[in-house]
Amino acid sequence: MEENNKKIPKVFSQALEEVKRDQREDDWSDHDHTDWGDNWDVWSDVV
Amino acid sequence: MILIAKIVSIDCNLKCDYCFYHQRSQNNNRLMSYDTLETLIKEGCDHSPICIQFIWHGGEPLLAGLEFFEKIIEFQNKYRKNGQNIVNRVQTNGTLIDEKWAKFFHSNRFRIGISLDGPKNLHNIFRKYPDKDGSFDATWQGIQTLKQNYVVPGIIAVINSVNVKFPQEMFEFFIASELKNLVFNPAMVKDDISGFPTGMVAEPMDYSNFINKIFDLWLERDDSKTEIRQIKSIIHALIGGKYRSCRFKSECQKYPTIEYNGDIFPCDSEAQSKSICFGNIEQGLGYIFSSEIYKEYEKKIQQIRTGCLNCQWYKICHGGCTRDYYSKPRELPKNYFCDGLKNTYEYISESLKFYGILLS
Repeated sequence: MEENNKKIPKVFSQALEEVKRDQREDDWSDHDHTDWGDNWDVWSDVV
Repeated sequence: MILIAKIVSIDCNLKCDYCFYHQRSQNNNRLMSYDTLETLIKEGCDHSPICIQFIWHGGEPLLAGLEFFEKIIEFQNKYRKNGQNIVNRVQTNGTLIDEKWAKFFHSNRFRIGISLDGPKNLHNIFRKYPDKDGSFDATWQGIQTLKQNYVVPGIIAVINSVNVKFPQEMFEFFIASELKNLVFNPAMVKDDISGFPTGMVAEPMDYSNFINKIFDLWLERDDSKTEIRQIKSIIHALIGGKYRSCRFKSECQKYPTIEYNGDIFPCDSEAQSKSICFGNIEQGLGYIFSSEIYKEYEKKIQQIRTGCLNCQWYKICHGGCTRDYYSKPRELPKNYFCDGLKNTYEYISESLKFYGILLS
C-alpha cells in the first residue's frame, strides 16, 4: 500500500516506542490537573 | 499512587472568570495545618511504598508560603521508605514565583505546572486579579524566573470560548517561548441553576477543531520533545498503550483530593461540589479506600457512562472526564464534549492509518 511507504514522523515513532516502554514499566499515569512533562530528565536539571 | 493536596483550599490571589471556584466565597487565610500535612505525607508514604506522587494544588498553592513547602520536604524525609520514589508536583498560576521559590523547586526537584492560556491578549481575557487586571505579566515573569533557575515548567492552557478560535497563535506562542510540555484542557463552568455549560465554555466542535489543528501543527513540526498530552493520550490509546491522561480512564476515585482540613474527595474537580466526601485523612487511606462510600463512587463513575458503552470510541476515552457530564430530564448523562471528541479521535485515527500505524 502506498500509505505504508510513507516515512513515519518522529513523533509517531516516539509514541510507538513509549507504548513498548509502558509495557515494560509500572504505571506512571498522569493527572490532568497539573502538568510537568513526562521527560523529567530532559528538562529538569539542564535546560 | 497520586495524592492531590489542596493545601490552601480554593484560596487564590487571582479571580479568573471561568474558574470553577470563582463564585464561591474566598477568605484567603486557609492553610493545611502541619499536623494534617504530616498525617497526609505519612499515609501516602505508608500506602504506596514504591512510588508516591504528591500534587500540591489549590487555589493557588504558593499562598501557603515557602516555610510550608520546606515542611513538606522535612516530613517526606522523615517518612520516606527505603528505595521509595517521592515525586512532588505543583500546579500554580506562577504569579508568586520569585528567586527563592525557583531555587527551592530546583534543589528539591519539584515538577512545576503553570496555568497559562496563551499569549497576553488571550491569557488576560479571563485570567485576572480581583481588580480585573490581567495576570499575564506576573505569570510570564514567574516562568522566566523558573527558567533562569533551570526549571522548565509544563503548561496547562484552559481552552475557552475565545482562545479556542486561535490554535495556531497559541501553538506558535508556546513553541517560540520554549514551552513544550503542553496540556489543552477545555474550560467547564456550569450554570448554578440549569447545570448546563455557560458561554465561557468552548463549543464541542470548536474544541475538536482546535485540537485537530494543534495536532496538524505538532505533526508538521515533528519535534519529539514537544509533548501535548491530549494528543499523546489519544495516540497511545489508539495503538494500544497506556493512557497518559486521567480523562480517558474513568477512574476518578484513584485521584483522591485532600482538602486543607484533611477531608478527602474523589478529584479536585469533584471537590467543588462537596457532595461526595470519602472521609478524612486522619482515618487513614486504607480505611478510606475500603469504605462503602468509596466503592459506591467507583460504581457511580461507571453508571453515568452507561450511554457510552456501545460507542466505537469507548475503549479510547471511557466516557471522558466526569466533570464534563451534564443531564437533561429523562435522558442519560452525557459528556458535553462527546461529539467533538469523537471527531478528533476519527481525525487522529485517519492520520495513523495514513502512515500504516493503524490498519485501515
